[in-house]
Amino acid sequence: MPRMNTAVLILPQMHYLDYGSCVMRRIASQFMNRLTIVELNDGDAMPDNINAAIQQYDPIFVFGIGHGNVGIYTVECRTPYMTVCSSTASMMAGRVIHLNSCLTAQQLGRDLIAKGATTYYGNYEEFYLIIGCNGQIYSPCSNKLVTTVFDAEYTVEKSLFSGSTTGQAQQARLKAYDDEINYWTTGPGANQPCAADAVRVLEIDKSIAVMYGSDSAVVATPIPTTLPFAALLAAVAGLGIGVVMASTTPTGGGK
Amino acid sequence: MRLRQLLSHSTALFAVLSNTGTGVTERVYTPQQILEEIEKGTPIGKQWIKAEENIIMRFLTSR
Repeated sequence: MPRMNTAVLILPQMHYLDYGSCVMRRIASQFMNRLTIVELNDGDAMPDNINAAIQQYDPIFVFGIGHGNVGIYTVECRTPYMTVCSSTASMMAGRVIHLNSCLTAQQLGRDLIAKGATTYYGNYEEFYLIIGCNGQIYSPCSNKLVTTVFDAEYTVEKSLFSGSTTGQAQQARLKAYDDEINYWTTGPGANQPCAADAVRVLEIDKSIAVMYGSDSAVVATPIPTTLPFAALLAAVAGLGIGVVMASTTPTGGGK
Repeated sequence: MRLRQLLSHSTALFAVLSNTGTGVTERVYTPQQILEEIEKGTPIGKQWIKAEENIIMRFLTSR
């Protein structure tokens, strides 16, 4: 049984993958105090290390960015990691998987669900990013233009790590794409160079953002929104809160 | 037509996260190359045309 509140993130660097990995590292840093998050960065994002991390931590959630095709997901230096009908695909049983990797939704994603993965998020066709504008190639995470598609796509993780269900995370993902499109059409980015290109790329990436499997799974304990009130009650009532909770706990004996 | 105009004036550089096999060069596209994909009617070109249709629909429904 995979462990709740535990995630393995596969974050290769080469071949433009750092453009996404650096965004995911930023997101992960916001949740390190709530979840056990294992990052496999750069040269560590290789098959043996990934398998070892999955066996050691048994995570409920696995994220990977990498170059892909319909039946294959590759990691650092385009090293094949997971293919349709492979034993690696079987290792994903019981887990929620997000592969930010072109075309994998066509076969690999369906195969993962067939092999028991709880939920799969992926990309049905080519996933685009912008790496430069006006004759300049930008560094990863250096500006909004290069992060915009990942800011939308990785809303899946922001939602799941906050305790949303897989279905809610998918809805949040699609809404985030709309929000990013609005940023470049009517928002602060509207008059910036390459804004129109960003809109097109976001529109493409939104249209291929799919989810298969369960829409009711959770990977993290929800952030308690009523905590301050509960804490206040606990401080005032002391032991009384325990009495109230105990009285609402169903007891056996009826069956 | 609108997409052609946009791409012919664009200075963006695009990359994709696809892997067509070992030893394949980086999948990076200039706007001119995207235009060529559109002219040839490749899957890449069709993606861009579909996106443009979606953008037009988005614009019309927001009015």
